[in-house]
Amino acid sequence: MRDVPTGSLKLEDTAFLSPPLVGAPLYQGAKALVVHGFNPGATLDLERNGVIVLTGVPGGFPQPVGALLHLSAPLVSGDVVRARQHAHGATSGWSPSVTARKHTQDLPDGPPRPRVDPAPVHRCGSRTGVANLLTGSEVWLTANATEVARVQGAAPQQGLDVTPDHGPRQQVRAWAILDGDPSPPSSVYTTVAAPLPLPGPGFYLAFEGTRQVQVTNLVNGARFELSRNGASLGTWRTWGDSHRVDLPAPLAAGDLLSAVQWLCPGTQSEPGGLQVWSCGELFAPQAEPLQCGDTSITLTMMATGATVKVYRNLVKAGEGGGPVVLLDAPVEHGDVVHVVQTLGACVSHSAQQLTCLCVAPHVTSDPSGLDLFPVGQADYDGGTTSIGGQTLHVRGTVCYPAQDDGANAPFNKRRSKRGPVPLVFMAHGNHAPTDPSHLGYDYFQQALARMGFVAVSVDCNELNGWTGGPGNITDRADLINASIAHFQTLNASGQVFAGVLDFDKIGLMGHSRGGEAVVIAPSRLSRPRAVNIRCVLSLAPTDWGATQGALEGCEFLTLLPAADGDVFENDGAKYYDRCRPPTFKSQLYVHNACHNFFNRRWLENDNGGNLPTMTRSAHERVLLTYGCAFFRSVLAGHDTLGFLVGTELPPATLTWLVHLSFKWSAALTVDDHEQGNTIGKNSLGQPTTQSGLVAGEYRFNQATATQYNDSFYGDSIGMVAVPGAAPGTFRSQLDPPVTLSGKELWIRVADVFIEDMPPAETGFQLGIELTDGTLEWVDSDAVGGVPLPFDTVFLTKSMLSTLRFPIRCFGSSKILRVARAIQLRLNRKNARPLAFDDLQIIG
Amino acid sequence: MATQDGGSGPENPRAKRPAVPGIRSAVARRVRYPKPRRFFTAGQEHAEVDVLEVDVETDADFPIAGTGPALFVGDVVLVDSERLGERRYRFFAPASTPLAKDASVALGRAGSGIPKPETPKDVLRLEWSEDGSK
Repeated sequence: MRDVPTGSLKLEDTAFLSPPLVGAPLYQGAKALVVHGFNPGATLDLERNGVIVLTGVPGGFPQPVGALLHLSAPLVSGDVVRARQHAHGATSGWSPSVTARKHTQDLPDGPPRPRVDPAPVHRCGSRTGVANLLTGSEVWLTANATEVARVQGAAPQQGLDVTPDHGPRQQVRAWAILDGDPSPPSSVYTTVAAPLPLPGPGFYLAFEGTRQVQVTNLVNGARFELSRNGASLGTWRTWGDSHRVDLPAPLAAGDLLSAVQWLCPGTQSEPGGLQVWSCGELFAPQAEPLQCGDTSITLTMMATGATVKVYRNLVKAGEGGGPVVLLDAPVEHGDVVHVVQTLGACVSHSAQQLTCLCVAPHVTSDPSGLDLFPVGQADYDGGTTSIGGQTLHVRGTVCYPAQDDGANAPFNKRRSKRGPVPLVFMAHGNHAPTDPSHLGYDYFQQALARMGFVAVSVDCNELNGWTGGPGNITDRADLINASIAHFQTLNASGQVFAGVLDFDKIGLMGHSRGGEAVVIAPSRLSRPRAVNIRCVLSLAPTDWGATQGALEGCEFLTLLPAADGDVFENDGAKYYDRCRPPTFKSQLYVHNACHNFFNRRWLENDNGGNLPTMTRSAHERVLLTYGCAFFRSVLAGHDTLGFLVGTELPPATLTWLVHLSFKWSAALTVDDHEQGNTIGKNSLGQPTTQSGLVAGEYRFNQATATQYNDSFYGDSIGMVAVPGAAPGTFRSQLDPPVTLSGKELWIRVADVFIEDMPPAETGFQLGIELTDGTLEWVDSDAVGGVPLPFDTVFLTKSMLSTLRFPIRCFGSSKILRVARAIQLRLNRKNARPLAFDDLQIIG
Repeated sequence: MATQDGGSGPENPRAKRPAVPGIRSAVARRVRYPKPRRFFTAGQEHAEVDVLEVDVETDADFPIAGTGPALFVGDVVLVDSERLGERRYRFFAPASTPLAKDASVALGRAGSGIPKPETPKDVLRLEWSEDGSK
């Protein structure tokens, strides 16, 4: 991706106008829907079940929330709606259709819980934002149980003007209902006084020709007055942060914009201002990387109020108001895409130029963001038990879906009526026994409880301190199992949890020594009867030698902090390699992550700050998003495994630092090098050949003499290919030939670390040799690339990650591809030894 | 006042891992326990009543962390330990563990990978005290 001067391009405009998008999902009972992506100022038509029910509705501006179109009658299940736009004399095609459903099909526990966003709620606030709403629902606010605002037919994030303004120390809650089904109320937000003085408002850049400006730095609930060249344009209420204002006339270069804001009388801020920029300064918009086959482009930055035009091979292929612009056809390999933005007659001086990558997953939904229930919290105390000759307390904390927030709140009735609830048990690691380490995952517990899990954090502090040895790990495992047994008792006869717990769906999460304990807990004799531990998340686990066996019978995820200053050998890599799960196993090697920052009670950076380390909140975000994706997939059957496979990315997460390995148990393995049949044969028993390189099989561990070098920390056998003077190839035969159409080739790969950090990434090509002898290659850079090792200076590792090569990347996807061999080619000028493992055919 | 030679350059703080404490003494004894003590060999748990205890004095404390101290007695590594007090640790091994009478001792880290000696190996020798019993 790069910017190129727009004037150097011979862009061919056509009348093509992109269809807008109807916000999905849509549910029965919705009194409104949202249309996105149309041109600023366009008019909109809405079709419902083949009949145009709204015609020529002024859309206004597509950002920030789209056009909210109110319906004459609420949607019913099965309704099919779509929209189109009219702009500058052109009419778009119809948008993709959206079919309304009963919300209980997707949300059997009812509408999600509304959330005041942004919080906090300020005294004298005049407008409050509410998020986590189903489109078209009815939403209202109460202050001290008195209704102060209501909106029929809400957007997913809806502002509500309150009357009267919020008073001091009011208890504010948001409520929602759809199709007669009420959501749980939001948390209670107590109004607070905003810090004074209020900051002066700011402005996002405004360019000549725009009819919309974005005022920033606004305080939640404030009123602000906007002026142009000293003349007031009016006063607006805002929920805070930033606020887009539609203007009656376009701005001119040099115009002076100013704004002031206030809450209570006498709190008016100093003015903030901006001089409008000229047309010639309008920059190129910025878009997400394109994945071949994409049918839309997503903008990450554009000028306020602009129209975006997209050109494929210099011919217009899309036009809209963003942030998503639909294209006239999927982007194909080799297409050159340019993106410009316009404001009136003004065109950005440069265009962003993109080509599609074979694999460039997009940010989709937030796997940790499912917010359905209030969260009850409780300490539990199951008395004492004898473990390893010690008397230990069976205790900890639990978060669960409740009727309302708070300590010991009743279990959520609606959720319990639907059936028993999966549980996740968490176990911390070793730390000062005086620190309550079990409280350090409260953020993870609460997130899981909000989506309907019971999340238990086991207090293992009595096992903490200056003690070492495998027995400390088995004791932790037994204490986890004792807590499971205690919850069986609570399920049988307790107050809050009677009959609501599902011991057939249990997940474990352990950190550090707890991460080792959860690997062995499922196989300990202490595991209670009638308990099915389906999955294990092992976070930065130690290896004290409590087991040398493989975890079996559980899906497995391990998270390995590359900048771990404590468990420096990332021992979870061994557990990943050894694990034999029923369906899949997954590994996250997270650059810039340390050992401690996943636990809120562990305050020090264990690597001493000598390695690049991301913030504590970024650590938590990685655990939240990938951890929730894992537990939701295994324990609740949610469609979230793509985050671990790598087909989608979670938002607001440093995903470029997360290097994934993933292995399906049932895939066709071409070569995992574990058969002891030498490098000359693959796992299928078929011959391999090599030319121009030297490839051999080595143990990718620390324990044996048959290593390539000492930079491997897992426990598998793999292949290291050492390049020769010219590009070299390694061929692995398939006999009988395999039909690959619609499938993917996966391979784990690492840039082998040898003494010094390489200055730049290297790579390779993967080829399929068809039955007619033709060869088609795809470069590793087109599927995400081979990451550089993470430089820890004294213990830099060769850590493998999985690259996915979809067959659609190999030439035209329409041709049936039957392969007789798969080849690897080390073709770089800076070729270095590469480690390979687990070459599989998926699909 | 003399100016130091600037050519030496700053010390690289990332040259190696933080050091483990130094070892000052290591005293072993044989002990018969009234109740068996757990040990693990190759991941397998077993119980012993005849135990070797090695009391070690260090020049600093190990941090409380996921990893912990490992004691090397010759080529034998002991990872079962507890802290007796400030800078004093006790390591445990089955009595059948072949500890040489005057083997060299060193400290390392256990709990992550294969422990390696991180203090000098030939500076200090294992001492033995009278056999004891519990």
